[in-house]
Amino acid sequence: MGFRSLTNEREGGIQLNVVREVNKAKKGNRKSFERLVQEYKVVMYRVSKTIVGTDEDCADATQEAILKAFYSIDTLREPKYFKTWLLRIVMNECYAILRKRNNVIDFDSIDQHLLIEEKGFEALEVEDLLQQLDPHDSKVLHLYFIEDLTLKDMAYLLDLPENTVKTQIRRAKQRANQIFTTTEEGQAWKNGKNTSQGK
Amino acid sequence: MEKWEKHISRKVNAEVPSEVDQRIELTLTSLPHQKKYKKKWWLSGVVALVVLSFLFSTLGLSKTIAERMSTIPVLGSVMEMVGGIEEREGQQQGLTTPIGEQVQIGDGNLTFTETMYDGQNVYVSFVLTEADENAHLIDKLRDDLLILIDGKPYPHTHLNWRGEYIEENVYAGTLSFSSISLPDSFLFTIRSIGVDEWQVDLPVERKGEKEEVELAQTFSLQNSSWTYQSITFSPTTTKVHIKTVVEEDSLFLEDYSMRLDIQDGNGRNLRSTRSNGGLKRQSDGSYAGSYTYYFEPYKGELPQEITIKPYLVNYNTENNKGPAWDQETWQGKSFTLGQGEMGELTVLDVQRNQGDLVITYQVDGNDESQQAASIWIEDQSGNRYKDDGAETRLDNHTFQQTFYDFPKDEKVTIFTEQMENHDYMKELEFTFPVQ
Repeated sequence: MGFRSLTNEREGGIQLNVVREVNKAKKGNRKSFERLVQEYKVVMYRVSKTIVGTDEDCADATQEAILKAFYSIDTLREPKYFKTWLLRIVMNECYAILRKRNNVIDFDSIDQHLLIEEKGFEALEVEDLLQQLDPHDSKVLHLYFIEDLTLKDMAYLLDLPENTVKTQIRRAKQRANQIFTTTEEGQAWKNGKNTSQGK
Repeated sequence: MEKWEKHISRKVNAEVPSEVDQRIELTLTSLPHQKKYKKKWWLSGVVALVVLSFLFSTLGLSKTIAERMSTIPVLGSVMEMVGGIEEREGQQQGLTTPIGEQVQIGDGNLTFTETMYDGQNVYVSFVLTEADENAHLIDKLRDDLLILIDGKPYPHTHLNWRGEYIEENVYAGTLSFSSISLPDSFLFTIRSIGVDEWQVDLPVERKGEKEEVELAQTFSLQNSSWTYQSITFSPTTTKVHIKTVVEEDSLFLEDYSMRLDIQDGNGRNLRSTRSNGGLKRQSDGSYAGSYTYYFEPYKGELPQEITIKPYLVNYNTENNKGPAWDQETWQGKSFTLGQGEMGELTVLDVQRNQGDLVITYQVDGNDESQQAASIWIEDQSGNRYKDDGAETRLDNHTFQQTFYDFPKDEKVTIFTEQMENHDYMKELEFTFPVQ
């Protein structure tokens, strides 16, 4: 409820069917809750994957998140924020899984089939280099590239103002570019070419 | 896009694999088909006959109305069963009037069971059978109703609505609005517009008095002015009315919501029930607004003085809560749970009452109204149980909550949330005498 209006009203950009489904789900309509989960299951998976890394853990985190959301949906005050509220629960379940494992993400658990499919680029090397990123930079970049997440969503999930998120994305990109530029120059040097001298 | 960016993009935008999809499907199908309903309100066929004669003979209802009321699967007051703090307070003070007006909707019935008018607010309770088939009607009840008072359209701006499924395929709820200059008795007409038009006429009679105290106190803060107009006491609510003027560059035009804490000299912190209002842009670029906040009523004697303490909530981050809670399993002795910066909750007693669990507890802290609402239970398997809605206040700091159908042989673990303190706006704090 903002100062402009304290009552639920139509606003540009808000899908009313989501608000309606959330209101129904809050009143015990199980079918509405199912429709909401189906609507957001892709982004739930994608967000959880950036944190826990394996599909098995994604399944565990998503399952727990669905149950927690079902039983606590009446605590959600603003139906239009259902998506980010749900994703927040997913993230918390992911962190709980990581805590049980002492925060270790196994590099070998990253989708090998995805890496093998990439052509013209050593995907495993890219992944290895991305591991050099600061963990927060890595998290910011991975969330940034998820197609179903807006900047506003990211700000909510990271508990930061939007402008701060924008700054963090920009800096993370700069740092990532530095890592890859340094590596490519190093590789060029190693291969006997000194590109910086134009030879 | 750089190559590493393409790599990340490809990596994070994978489709849901079958393993995860199947787990999601399994989880959804394992959800209960109905949350725990308030079964004690359920009426069997045999009992219905008994109730019918009771309604007819004891309450003096007409035979037609008594017959209609006996067709709804509810024993007792719908207003109390599904109502919030306001409806329950009024019902418990004997302010409701049984009605029994019915409209046929498809294969089901929409029965308006009670009305209540305390001089400030008007309430109507209803039961809808065959609710699954008529689910679209539930949305219409909120959005597409025309209200007439004694035959004339009523310019109400905020029709409040609450409801829930009380059993499979049966939905019950209440509608309410705040009155402006209504007579002591009137005919309240509800007309549905659009598809499935219907109309009911409900006689309403005022029971109870309201008392309004003018405040007329203005405060300034950050390119805005706030005027406490009045506080109104009625049997179902305590109402605070505020007007404001906000300049174009004020922070109050951001994604913030202002809420009020009402505390009195007796240590009571009133529980908020609802609020409404908004801003309108003026020709000079500023915004003028009017806000009304409702709280639980004072019963009996009013306090000597009241303090209003406004605080800000950023509703973009309001629900951004991590799993911060405190919990303990009941072993027969009182214990205290931490509620973060807000304070603490002490569980005094846990009693079983015909399959339900009644928990008595006290709160101590900065916003006891919010603290009192933050309680839930789980069994040893982590299952949660439905509560009775708004908690019951026993005294200034003591409350009671009922949880339904808790297994007999299970130990109960009680939870409460750990909360941050409010971001109070000291500049707008206002203490005034009531008596």
